[in-house]
Amino acid sequence: MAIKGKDFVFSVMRDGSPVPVCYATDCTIDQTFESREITAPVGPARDYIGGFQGYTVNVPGAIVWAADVNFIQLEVLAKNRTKFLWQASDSTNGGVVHSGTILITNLSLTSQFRDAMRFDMTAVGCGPKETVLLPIAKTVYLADFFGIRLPGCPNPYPVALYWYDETFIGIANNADDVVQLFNDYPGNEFYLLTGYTTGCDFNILIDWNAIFIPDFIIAQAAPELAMWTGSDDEAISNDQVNDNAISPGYA
Amino acid sequence: MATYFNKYYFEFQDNHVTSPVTWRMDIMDSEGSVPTDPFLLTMSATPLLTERIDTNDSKDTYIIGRQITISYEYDGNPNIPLPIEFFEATERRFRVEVRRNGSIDGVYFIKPDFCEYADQYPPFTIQLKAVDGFSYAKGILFNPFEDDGSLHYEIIDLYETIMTRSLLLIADPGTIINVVNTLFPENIGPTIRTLFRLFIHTDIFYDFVKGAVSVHDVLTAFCKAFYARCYMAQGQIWFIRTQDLTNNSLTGDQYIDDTVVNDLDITNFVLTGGPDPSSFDVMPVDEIANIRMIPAIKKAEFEVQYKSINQLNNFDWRLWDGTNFDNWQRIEQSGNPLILNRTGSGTIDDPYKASIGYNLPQASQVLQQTIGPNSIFAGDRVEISFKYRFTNCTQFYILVRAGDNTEFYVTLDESGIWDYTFGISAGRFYINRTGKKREGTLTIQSIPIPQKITGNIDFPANADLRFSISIPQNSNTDDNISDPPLIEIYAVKVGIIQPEDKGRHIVITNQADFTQIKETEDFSFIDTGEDGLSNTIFVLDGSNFVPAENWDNDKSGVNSADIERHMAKAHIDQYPRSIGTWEGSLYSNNMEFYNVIEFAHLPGKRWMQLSDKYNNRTCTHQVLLTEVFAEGNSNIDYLEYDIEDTTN
Repeated sequence: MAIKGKDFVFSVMRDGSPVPVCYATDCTIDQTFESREITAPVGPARDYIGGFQGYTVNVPGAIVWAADVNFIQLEVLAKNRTKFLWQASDSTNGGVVHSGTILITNLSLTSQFRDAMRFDMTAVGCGPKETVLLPIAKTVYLADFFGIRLPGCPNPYPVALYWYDETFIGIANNADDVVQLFNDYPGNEFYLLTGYTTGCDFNILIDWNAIFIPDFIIAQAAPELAMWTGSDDEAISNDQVNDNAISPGYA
Repeated sequence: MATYFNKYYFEFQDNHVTSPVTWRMDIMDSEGSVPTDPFLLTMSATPLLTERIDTNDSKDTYIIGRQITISYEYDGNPNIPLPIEFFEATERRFRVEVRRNGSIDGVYFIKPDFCEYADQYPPFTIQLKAVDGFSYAKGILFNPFEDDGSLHYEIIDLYETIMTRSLLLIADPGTIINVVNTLFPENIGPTIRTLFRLFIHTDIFYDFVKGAVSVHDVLTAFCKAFYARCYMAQGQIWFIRTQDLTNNSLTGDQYIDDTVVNDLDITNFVLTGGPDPSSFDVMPVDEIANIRMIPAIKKAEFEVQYKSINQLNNFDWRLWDGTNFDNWQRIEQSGNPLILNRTGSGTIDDPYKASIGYNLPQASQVLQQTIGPNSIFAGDRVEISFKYRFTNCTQFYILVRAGDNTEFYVTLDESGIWDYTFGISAGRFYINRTGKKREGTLTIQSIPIPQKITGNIDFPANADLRFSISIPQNSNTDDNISDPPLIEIYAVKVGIIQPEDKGRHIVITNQADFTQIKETEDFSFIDTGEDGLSNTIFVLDGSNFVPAENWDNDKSGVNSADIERHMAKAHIDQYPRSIGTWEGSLYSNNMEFYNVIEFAHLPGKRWMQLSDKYNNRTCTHQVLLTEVFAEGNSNIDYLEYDIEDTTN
């Protein structure tokens, strides 16, 4: 099958859904913006206004016959002179999404000695190229600093929440507390928990321009932790029964 | 007008950088089955080009048609029209409507002879050319007829002349005409609504032998008289006097129909030109424009042939009681009147004719009409014109006699010369048939009636003009031996030209030192003050039509003068010195042909459009502009004289 690009996936739209084509890291979207020179003689400097706009896409890829969209399907599209929708984005479910309609103008197949068969498709854009900036929707789970799902799931509460720079956020007694603490954290610019499916699994919307895309929310089970009150050796324990306060450093 | 239905269309937004507009093109058919929905054509890269045609480098191109080029792609889809659908159709079958932001911009008809496509396997581009009504103006005739087919031979206002009987034959019913013309005759005073207040006689556009002139000729006659241009823009007709393009606004009359007229006042008709689409109306783009110089006009000459109004009553044989024609006398000889009948059905295709046969014994059986007395004077010229048709005979004769009922008269010969024939000859001249052709025409314009008809005898006062036709007994021809010998006479014109010449010549000279001389041009309307000429523009004085007097407007430097002097002066006024033309590309999607342009970098000059090729998608007008000048800015010498006397 075609290999999905890690950062950028080029897809052919089929029945409204994107079907990946190739390594998007090698894809090229080449846009042209023509200009027209203003020729009213007002000085020696040249001046222009914008003119027509167009683009081409170049999509190289490795041939895997089992892939949904491979050289054969592209060749059929080309021979039938079919214009088709395309989409390319840096995430499978949001992010920066480029799209439009293209017509294949060049399709080559390369089979080199001791190398995989490759193809290279060039297409010309028909009509405008759209660029849509969508939040990325995914799920995250409660995990420790190493991404290990909390052992108490689906009910590890109370837990201590941390931001991704390991800053302590607060104590959550249930999933609702996690949502509130996470969303309200002042350092949170790009992320929004929209709900949860279990006590440990959350839906998150990530802004298209987020610095990174998390897979989990960092938390520690509360009995392992006490909070320093800020003076002397005093601490507030989460263990309401035994009043034990255990420092992580001594765990 | 045929009923049209939408068949094909396309629509696109142009590429204007700040204010794009939407263009829609509909091809409408007047034949075949009506589709459920019009079919969307696949546009080519340049889907719509709009050109002004019939233009040249001169401001005195009076009638300017418009042509569009439609390009779409044919890929074999059976819904896409094959080229043959358009190419082998009549010129008015396919109508094209172009709309700018939903408003009609132009109406055109596909001209098959200009269409083309590549002879190759699909896909290929089909290119259709369509022209507006003005392109048909040369092929469609001024309509001088009534609904019943009779000739409408009388004085009518200019709206009826220009619109009802001309332009509405080539444009849609209800088309508006905008008139910008500041010149008016002094005997109606400063006025607007000149199309309703100026009149002409239909004779000027109708010839009794050749028939009506074309719509193009009608428009040219008026445009030339006023130095105006006529064209379509925004789905309306525009008639604009070039000298009035120097006004601050385009002010005039907007005629909705033959009764409703509104004020026209376009205050923003002067467009600014400069290098910024947000600050200027039009912007020079692409290739560097060239300013070419056009030499001044040193001298221009004009010539008009006088055309008389028919003086005969019942000239088209309309009034017939079954025996005689009203106003015509049938002179008997020995109790034998000539055989007279009316043939034809009175329609345009089959007009009434007087059928004249001889009745033995022949001799002086005639059909005649007398105009006057006091109708003709020494110095007058007589104009005769009609068609005839021989049936089984070879000869008929005409007698044209001017004078009194005694011996003081002269008769006309076929070369236009008046002879004193009393006691010398019958004074008639014969029209002979040669060969097998039955149809013939007669056109004579006489020399002036002499002051002395013979010796020292003056042409009499109280003279009348008598016109007689007769057919002598002849041996039959072999057209059809059973047919009686007959001559059929179509509508007859006998007019009297009062000025002592058959026309007038004008020479206007630029006092400045230049050399270019224009070729002599014919024109139609002249102020002679005579009411017997159809070259006269009339005004209504009470219930009478009187010739227009001097023409004037409120502009400084403009003196009141005859219409022909204003016409001639306009040619020098607009080329008073070497003037510039600007040839280049302008970026705009709202420039109309009536707009004039003032470039920021060329201060003090106003430019009018001479030609334009507009790419509707790229908003590019390839134009030829030229400087326009105020009326009365040149110093001229003006000379006007009679055309040299000739016999005919």
